[in-house]
Amino acid sequence: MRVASRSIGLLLALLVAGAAVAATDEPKSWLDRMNHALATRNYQALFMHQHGGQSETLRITHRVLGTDVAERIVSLDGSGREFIRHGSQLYCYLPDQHLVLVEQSPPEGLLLSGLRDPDLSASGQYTLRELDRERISGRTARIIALEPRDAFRYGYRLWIDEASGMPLKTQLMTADGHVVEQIVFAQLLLPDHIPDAALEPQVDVRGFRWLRRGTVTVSASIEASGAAAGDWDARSLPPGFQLTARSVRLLPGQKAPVTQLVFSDGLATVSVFVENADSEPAPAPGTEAAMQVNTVGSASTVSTVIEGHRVTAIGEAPADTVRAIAGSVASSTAAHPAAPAWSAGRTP
Amino acid sequence: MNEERDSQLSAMFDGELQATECELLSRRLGRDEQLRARWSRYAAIGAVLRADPTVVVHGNLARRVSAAVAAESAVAKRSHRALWQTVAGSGIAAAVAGVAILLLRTGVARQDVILTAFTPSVQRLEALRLTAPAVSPVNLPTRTTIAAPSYVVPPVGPASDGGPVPMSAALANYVVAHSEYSSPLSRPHLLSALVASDLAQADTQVPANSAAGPSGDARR
Repeated sequence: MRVASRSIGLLLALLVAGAAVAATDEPKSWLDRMNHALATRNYQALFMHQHGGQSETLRITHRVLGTDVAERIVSLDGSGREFIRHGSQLYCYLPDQHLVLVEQSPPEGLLLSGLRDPDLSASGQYTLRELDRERISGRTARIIALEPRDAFRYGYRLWIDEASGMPLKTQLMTADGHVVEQIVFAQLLLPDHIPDAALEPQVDVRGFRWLRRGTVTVSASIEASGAAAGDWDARSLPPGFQLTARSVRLLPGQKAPVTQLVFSDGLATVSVFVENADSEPAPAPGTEAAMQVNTVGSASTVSTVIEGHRVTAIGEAPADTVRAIAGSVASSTAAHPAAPAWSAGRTP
Repeated sequence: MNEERDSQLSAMFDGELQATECELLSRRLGRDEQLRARWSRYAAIGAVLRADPTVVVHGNLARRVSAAVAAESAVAKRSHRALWQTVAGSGIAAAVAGVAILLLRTGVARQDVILTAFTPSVQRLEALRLTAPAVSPVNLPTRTTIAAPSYVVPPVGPASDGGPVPMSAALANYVVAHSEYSSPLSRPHLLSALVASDLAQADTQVPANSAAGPSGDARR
């Protein structure tokens, strides 16, 4: 009997151990490992950003010193731009514009930071799974895929270093598997100490204009900001998207506050900025204002005029998704025609 | 002129280019898109030529580069330039070569070095780029000597000195403001694109909400 109990105990122990091993092999556990590595490690990396046949080399320096987090991103290929974050201050050095933008930004705005909610598949718009392992430069990487369920959003593939948990490569992909953009780390160092000098800009800012954010009114919660944000909202959204934040803010160099609406499906995010545009000519009666569509890397930008307001939308989503959201926003005070109905079967 | 540049690139990758010439070339790389493309291709060719067993080769381009190199080797010994001219014909996605083929593991010299790439001479080039980021032949920035932590605060000056805000700056504003809410997975792509992208085209447009005020339908 005692032997039987021992055997059962041993079997249970083995089952528990097996379950633990299985848990660590789950794709979500690899995202957790990556989050932990990014939140706790110092790193210096040289990486390639590739989009549309163009490749740019950038360097990132990231230092965690107690509660103090600093980060510097530098373009090595042409523009000479540098982004430096120190705590909540973000400095954007734009030598090609002779400008420095100074923003207040939360620490979560770091270039590489952990997922707030790694359980992205819970949103129902993505499937999280692990693909084959792959060797990258002699390192074994786990490939984790977040695959979109439709063409309204992009998916991701992450190559996560098995030993360190650091991402070695990330790809942004369309629903049918086409790579839109990728980041490949060509050099990744994990030093114990990073000197202050490594976080200083290499740009001579003499003669540059400094544009700082002025007095700011920011309301992060939807409830608290409704009135201040002029009650702008979207009449219809692509499946899975919902309004997640609304704020009124004064951006550096701008003279009037801008309303920012944020829509998200749990992973893809689209911001819509609404500002007064009184002197812009209104579209002819019965016609809609033209939409101007551009891109910043894989992010789509759409600009148009709605109800006498300049509406600018930016999002890491297909252009048609961003266009649909931008065209859908309206103030609650205006009379609107019936909103288009989106369904999962309707793709952009 | 191209032959001269190719010769310089070849010398640079072989570590034979003088430091002063290397710096000049690095500056030119900063403002010459075609030269950067050639640099990427040259790096790819160099990786294949070295037949480094740790080279990670991805995609059709890598196979085409390898095939082209193999074909060249079978015919005759050629100079780098001749080889370059042959392979340049496969010039699709030079950036892919720059991204994928440059994943070399040159050895782990320190415990904290978990991934390395580029040849030493390219690292040298990169170091030079840090000291001389080229933005304009007229107004080339030089390395600043501001003492820490003054890099986060300008010595004097108002929050904004007025005047028109270029559309590119307004767009950068929007992208940065948006990035606060974007997912950590997409943020690296977004901010990297902002650092790397050419925003100059946006300056043909003027934001309605700039310090200079609205300006008609320039953006429509």
